Amino acid sequence: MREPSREPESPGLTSINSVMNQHQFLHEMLQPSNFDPTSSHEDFLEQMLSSVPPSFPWADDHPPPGNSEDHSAALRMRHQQISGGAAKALMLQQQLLLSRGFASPMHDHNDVVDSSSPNSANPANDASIKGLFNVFTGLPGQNSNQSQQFHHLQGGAMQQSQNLSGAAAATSGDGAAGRSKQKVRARRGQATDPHSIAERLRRERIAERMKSLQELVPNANKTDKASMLDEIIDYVKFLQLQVKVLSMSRLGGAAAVAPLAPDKSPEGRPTPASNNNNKEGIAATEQQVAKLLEEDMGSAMQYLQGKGLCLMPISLATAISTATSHSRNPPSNREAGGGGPSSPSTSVMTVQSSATIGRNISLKDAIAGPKLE
Amino acid sequence: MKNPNTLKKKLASRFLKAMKKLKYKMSPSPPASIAEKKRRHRAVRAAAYASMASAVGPRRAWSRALLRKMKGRKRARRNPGNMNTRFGLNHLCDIVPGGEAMDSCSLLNETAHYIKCLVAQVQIMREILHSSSSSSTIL
Repeated sequence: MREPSREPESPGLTSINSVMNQHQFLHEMLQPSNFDPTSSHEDFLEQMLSSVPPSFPWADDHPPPGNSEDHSAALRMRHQQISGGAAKALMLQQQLLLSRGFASPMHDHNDVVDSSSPNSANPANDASIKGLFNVFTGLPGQNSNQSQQFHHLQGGAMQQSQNLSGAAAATSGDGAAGRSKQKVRARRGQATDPHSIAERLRRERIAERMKSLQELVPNANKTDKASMLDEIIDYVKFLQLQVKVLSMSRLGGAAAVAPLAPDKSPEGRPTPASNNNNKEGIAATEQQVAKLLEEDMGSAMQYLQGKGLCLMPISLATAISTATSHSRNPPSNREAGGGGPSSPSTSVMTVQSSATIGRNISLKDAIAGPKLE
Repeated sequence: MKNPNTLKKKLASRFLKAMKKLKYKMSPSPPASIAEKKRRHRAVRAAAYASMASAVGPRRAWSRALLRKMKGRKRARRNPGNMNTRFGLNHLCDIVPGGEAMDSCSLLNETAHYIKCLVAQVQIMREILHSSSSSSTIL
């Protein structure tokens, strides 16, 4: 009986059944130009067509209902009745045509799917018919031909049946990956994509960028993303501050102490300087130097130098300040800049750095004083 | 992406040209008042950033934003749907020019390039300063 209990095989079976129908037609057409056994084959088939065995699970809801299934049933019966390699090959062919799940008999021949076979039904028909002929004539020398045609059939069947299940076992993974890849390739700006794969890929990209940023920023502290971000922000701020400072000191001035950093509030540092301007500027410069010294000694030195300042031990500075305290001019900070050696202003500031510097230099003993040119 | 040597050369040439232009505009050294000094310093700094942005060209988002700022037309605040994808990059987008209108991924990219250019610019300025100053003794 024809049971309608069918899974995704029905559309494929339609095509395969149409293949088989064309089978029959071509079979008949090719008959006169071919071997004699074909006539006997046809007769035999028609013999089988009369007896319809009921135990086949193929469905019955396609347009050519009776003949094809009976044909296949007949062929199966034939297989059951006729033993030998020919029948076995025929059954193989049938199974290849009808289902791709029959893995066991395919091991006799190669399992390689000829994926380059054409997708249309007609060459498959030709191949299948030739295969049938080969089977029936029992030509042993054509085994390779048979296998090729089986492969053609298999390829055709495969390609036809791929539409059924959507993806075979071998290609299911690729299909899924392709789908997810398509999802990821979609624009990230779409907020309606909460898929975890897209999120994960985005995070990976961000982590990658963070890693490359870490190489740029000197303090490569790989512990935490948040702290790394803070580090990056601080570094960018520091670089911008350097540009600012360098632009100020470029035009020749330790005299440019005053407008150094309007956002830095002068803290209560002990600055024995006499001028108010100087005090604010020096406090800010102190902070800047302290910050710079944490990063890089050379840059701190250069910064001071650019401002016309230098680092010296406290003892020396006190000595100088006491020595020159008599000849100090209040507005001297304006002239002490680019190289006026006449009256070096003795503005002294103490720099205390609380952070440890990696070069074993403790700043508590050093102060910055004006460079004596 | 950028070869550091070519970047530095480009930056250096542009910056020096900008500085020369600046020199002719400003009063000869030294300026008298603090306000003038402030103006000068700001001009130098602006020249530094402008030369940086023009050396990079419109290839990068931050340089485009800087150029827009220079021309006085900073109004490109597109893409407001970025706040939910920020992950704490709020401060960064304030610092890097043009960081508002970018998503996190490209913001990090731009930051990396911006850092590279800043480092090159600072090096150039330092070298110019040191070559021009007569006595450069470092303790």
